[in-house]
Amino acid sequence: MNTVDIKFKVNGKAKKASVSARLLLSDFVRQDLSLPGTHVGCEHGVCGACTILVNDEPVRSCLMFAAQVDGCEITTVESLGKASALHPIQEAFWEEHGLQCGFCTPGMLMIAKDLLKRNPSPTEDEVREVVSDNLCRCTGYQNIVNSIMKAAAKMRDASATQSGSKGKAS
Amino acid sequence: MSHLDNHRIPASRQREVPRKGLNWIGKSMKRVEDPRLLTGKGRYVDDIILPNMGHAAFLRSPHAHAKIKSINTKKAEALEGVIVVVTGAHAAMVMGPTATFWCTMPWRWTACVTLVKPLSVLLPRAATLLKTP
Repeated sequence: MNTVDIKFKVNGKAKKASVSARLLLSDFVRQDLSLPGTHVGCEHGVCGACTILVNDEPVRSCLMFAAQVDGCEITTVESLGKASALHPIQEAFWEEHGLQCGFCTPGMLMIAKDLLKRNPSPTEDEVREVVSDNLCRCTGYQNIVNSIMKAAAKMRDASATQSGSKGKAS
Repeated sequence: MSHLDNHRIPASRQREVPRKGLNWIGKSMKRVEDPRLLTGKGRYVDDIILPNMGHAAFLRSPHAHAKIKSINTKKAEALEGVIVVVTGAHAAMVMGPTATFWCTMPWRWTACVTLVKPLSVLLPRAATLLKTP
């Protein structure tokens, strides 16, 4: 079987691996890198549960081969925050009940992270447009939209206070 | 300060006697399991790894309501890494009926793979158990 040697960064850590050419990125992340927070729902790019960031762009990891991430930087849900110190997006999902079973949640968090990086003040329509990328079969889209709107507000407040304190210091 | 402002779930108050100031009633409660699910620490069926675990591949019927006359499993059985190929007839010999999550009317005996007639294109006709690569 053909193997490919790859070098990449995952959640900030540099790694090397020798992977089978036909290995999917989703299986590589879950099994070889032992990061099972990324979920595989449909395995053909429809559901978005496997969404991770490659070079800060959201991708369906079930539609990429592990060999393709040579030289790239991978970011998974495990990078966001720990249970004791949640990321503002995770806090907002908790407060707004943005998840039930939690299976689609890692994908939802990653697309939310990408959206809020590109657009810190999205309108509800813009959030809905992005959330429509991913499927939630608990069908709680309303709460997911509310969560992302709240996360946007939290992150705007945080950056406002940060830049405010910087201003005072200088 | 609302209970939503900090991220601590208070210890159970069940041992306390009823009193005034039961201020949780009528308010949203944050779920205890969410931090685990939000940080990728949830465990789902796909995350379970057991010793000697195999993978199953299902052959699904291309036609709804078609009658299965025969399934030739010889080629599949000859492939490297195949542990067993299970058809409906095989399953009926070695195990009892399984629960169904779809309505069958009239009632019919159901195995984990289809015996005679798949009701829809989604029902598996045969299952192949493979060794994990």
